[in-house]
Formats: sequence, C-alpha cells, structure tokens
Amino acid sequence: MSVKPQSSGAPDAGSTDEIIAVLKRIIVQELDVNVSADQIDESTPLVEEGLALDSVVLVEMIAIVEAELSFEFSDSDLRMRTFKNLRTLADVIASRIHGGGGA
Amino acid sequence: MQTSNHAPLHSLIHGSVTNPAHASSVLADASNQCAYPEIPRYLEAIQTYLSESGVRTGECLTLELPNSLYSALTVLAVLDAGFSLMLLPAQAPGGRAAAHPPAAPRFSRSLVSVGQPAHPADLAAPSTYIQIRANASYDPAAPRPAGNVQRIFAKTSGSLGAAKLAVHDLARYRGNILSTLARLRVDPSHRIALPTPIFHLYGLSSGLLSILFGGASIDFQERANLLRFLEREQDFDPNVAFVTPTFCETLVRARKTPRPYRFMVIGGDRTSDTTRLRSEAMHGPLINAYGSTEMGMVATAELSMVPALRSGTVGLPLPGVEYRIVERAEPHAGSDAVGELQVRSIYAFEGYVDMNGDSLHRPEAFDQDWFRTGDLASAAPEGTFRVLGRCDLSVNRNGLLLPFADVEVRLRELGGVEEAAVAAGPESIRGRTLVAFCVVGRGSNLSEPELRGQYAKRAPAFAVPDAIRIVEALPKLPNGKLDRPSIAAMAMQAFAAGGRIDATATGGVA
Repeated sequence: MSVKPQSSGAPDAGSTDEIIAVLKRIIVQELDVNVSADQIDESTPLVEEGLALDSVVLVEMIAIVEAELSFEFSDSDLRMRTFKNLRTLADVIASRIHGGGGA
Repeated sequence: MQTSNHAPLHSLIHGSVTNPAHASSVLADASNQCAYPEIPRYLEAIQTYLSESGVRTGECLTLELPNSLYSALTVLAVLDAGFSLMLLPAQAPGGRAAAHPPAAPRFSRSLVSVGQPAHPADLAAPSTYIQIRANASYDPAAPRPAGNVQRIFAKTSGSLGAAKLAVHDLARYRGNILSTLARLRVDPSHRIALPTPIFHLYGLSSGLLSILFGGASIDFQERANLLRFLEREQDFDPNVAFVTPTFCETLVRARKTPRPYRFMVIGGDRTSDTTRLRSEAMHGPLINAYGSTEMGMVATAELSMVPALRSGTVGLPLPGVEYRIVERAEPHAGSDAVGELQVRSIYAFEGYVDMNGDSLHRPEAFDQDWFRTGDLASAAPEGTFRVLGRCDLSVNRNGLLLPFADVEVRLRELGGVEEAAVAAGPESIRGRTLVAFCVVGRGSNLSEPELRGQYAKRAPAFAVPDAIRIVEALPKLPNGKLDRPSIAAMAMQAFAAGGRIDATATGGVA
C-alpha cells in the first residue's frame, strides 16, 4: 500500500489519518506484538507504557514503515516524542513525505 | 551517620568527588544531574536518612536500583558508609516501587528501593526518592559470612533454580575496579553514556565505580531504550558509551548517519563481524571487554590495539588475573585451540551463598584453584583471547566441537535474518542433531530451504543445522536474553512433531 501524495488544497487530515491506518496495520500484522486493531488507537503510547515496543521491535518497525511509505526518517526524528503515539508518529512521517522538512 | 572503618571505597569516592581536576564533571540522567563537588552533601543526606529510618551500622541492605542518578547516589552513600549490600533490579519500569517487595536474603534486614520521581527531586531530600522497608523474610539468626567486612552480594546470571549469590569482599574487589579504570584510561574529559544496568555487579563496578574514580561524567540510562539513547546523545553529548552486543546491534541498524565516539566499550556475548564493522564505521573504535559476576572484569582490549585485536578479541587479562584455556577432547573447526576458559584472580569472589545465607559448596565450579567460567574461548595473537559462547551451548558434530554462537552469528549475517538461535536435538548417527530457529524480516520472502541453502554456501558441512525453522519470535527471558531452555524444548519438539527433521520442511514450530 502506498500513500498518495496529497493534492494541493486537500485537507491535511486525510493524509495523516491514512498514515495512521497504515501504521496500525503494520503493528497488528507485521510486528511481533500481540495486539489486535481494536486494542490500539491513535493515542495509545507506543514505547514503555501502552504497547511497550522494545528497541528491537522499534528498529524493525522503522524499517518496515520506511519501505512501505517510501521515505526515510532522519536521525533527529528518532526521539521519544516522535514515537509517543500513532498520531505523533504519523505527523512526523507526513512532514517527511510532503517536503522532507524537519531538523 | 558514622562512617564505618571498614569502608574500603570511602577514600576513593571522596578523593574523586573532591578532586579539583574533577570539579566540572557531572552525574546525570534524563531528568536530573549533579556536579561532582555537590556529591558529598547528597551522600551525607542519604546516610542521615538511612540512620533516621532505623537502619543500623553493619547491617546488609538489599538495594533495588533502576538505572538512574538517584540510584547512583544511593549506592554510593551505602558503599561510602560501609554497609554490605545485595543488588537487585528495580521491579517496575520507570523505578516505581512495586506493590510486593522483592525477595531479599534472610540475612538482610532492610530493603532500600530507589524510585523515579515524576518531577526532578531535590537530591538533598532522599525521602522523595528512597523507600526503606523491613525485609519480611529477615532472620537475625540467619547465617552470614563472618567478619567485620564490607561485602557485595550479587545474583549470578543464568541461575534458573534457587538464587545463587556470589559474595565479594570489597577490600579485595576494589583492586579489580582500579585495574579496570587503569586499563580503560577513563579521565575527566570523558562523557560516558551508561545504559548498562548498575544493579549488575559488572555495571556497578566497571561502569559507575571505575568511571567515578576516573573523574568522568556519566549519564545513567534506564532500560537501554534506543530512542532515549539517541535523545541523550543530543542532550548529554557523550563521547564514550558502554553497551551490550544486542544494544550495539540495534543502534547500528537504526542509525542513519555516523556519530563518532572516542570509543565504545562492548561487554558480554559475542558480536557478529558485521555489527562490529558497522559500529566502527558509525561510532569509531570498539573495545571488547569480558567479565563475570564471580570474577569481576577479567580482560579488556585497549584503545591502542589494532582493530582486529581491539574488537575481535577481549584483549589481555587485567593485572592480578590469569586465564587458561583447557582444551576439550574434540578439535574445533577453526585453526585455534578451543576450550573452556578458566580464570583465577587475586580479586576474585569469596564463594556462593543462597538466600538463606547458607554457604553453597560448588566444587564443580572449580578446577583446583581455577574458576570454571563455563565459557568457550580460543587463544588469539599476542596473548589475547576470544570468547566464543557457553560451553553447554555447543555440540560435538562429526567429532568436531561446534559452539552454537558460531552458527548463530553466521545466520544473522544472512540478509533478511534478524534473530537466530540454535539448539541441539536428540542424538543421531552423526552426533547431536542441530536445529536453528530464525526470525526473518518482513521484507524477506526466504523459505526455510532457501535459508538453509544460503547458509550452507558459507559454512562447512558439519556446521549446517539439520533443520532451519522460521519462527515469529524467539522466546526471551524478562532481561531480554534468549530463553535457552525453551529453545532447547522447541528443538526437541521440532523432532517430535515431524517424527524426523526434514530439511525441506516448510512448517514452523508448533
């Protein structure tokens, strides 16, 4: 699945929501985490509490997300605040996809 | 609180924190920090708090320690005041005190649990971050090693049954801490990231204490969290890091661009060549170290060594430590002789006790006066040696000794393989059968026969597992290490399920 570049003038939310759906599917289907789709929402903490993804799973998730959505995180994206929950993660990914901004 | 005369680290701790050359060094974690010159005041506040809470001079305290600045100050205060201590990990992540107190030895009267306050606590107000409780299993009549001697009791790793505690006399053990400092040449210009836990004797002595005596700054990091490590790289700006092989591997996989360090110290299990080389390209020199709970730091490489020796071996034994490699009957496939690593040291542990305080006699742990590490090692150039894996994690195949780690490291070097574990199945005509379990990356469509085929191209025939099974995940212990007994059971099950191991089988392990 790929996320279509957002057409000019379209509302921003659609794109981020689409990314959240992709992330959710990756977590439920691709990662070694025992969780079903209805157990996570966009505000579920990803690290430590909530899903408690450990470093090994995080590295795997980063690789999968980058491959599926055709972008790359920068080292400065790999922060606790980015991986706070699906919403914060999708926001960072959206900014990377739509302009490669960030530090 | 009066400082005991029997506190062998007292003058070292105070000598370092009041040394003008160390005055700009700090101890820190993600939430708080303090400069060396402030440390004596905080240690005194903690000692007063212990005393006011009814802790008595000479008792053995059980310390429950998350990896934090608060823990570092607490353990330093306890060591400085001459208490004997038992080390335990914090039970709950984030340092919150758990509802049920941890099991403490019967000879320990008080449990000292360090918490992680939600907001930076006043370091001079220890009641905000230290909880002192009576140990419910305390028995004043419980035996305890004799003499007015300050001791550290540390759980040995890999003890699956009843806990086995290694006992160290600090007056003796301090020599090992000072040798580690001299070998690693820690100095006040170093800013050291320390994600290795200080509730392990290795992290406490080779990490916190040897670094503190060298006057360097330390950043304590909880639970080797990748994101936090990268965040602290920016905020604390470390130029040295102590890491485990697993964490090093995670780091080089995640990192996009190089981030030079003066050096990284890697301790523990064997690291793959790929990880070593990638880490050197990303971080700079990697120094390999080897030690155990019983013997402390046994050997480390040095920065001045050529890379092949510096990160490819564990270097030379520390002063006061000797090693020998007792060859096994079976030859190893490599050119070097392989055998069990045996160590003796003038700084070694005194022996084992159990949680009741009773001495445990373990004649099988020694070969005359040599401590049997249970690790396989091979000699390397210039008196250095390599550690290859655990002796009990190896098999005899076609008359040759094959450490599981040899196979696991090579499997992980195959594209697509993220984790690998090997276990022995039942005897067959050719010796013990071998089953490998691999976790492959999602992008990989490798089938089990393809994986085995690829591996077979890179390894001698006797080292090719009888079966390779792709699994979703490998069983792990709470500390993140592989759950070897479960993996061994999976290997036996792999046979039971299929009747025989079929190398072309495609089914996973049930």
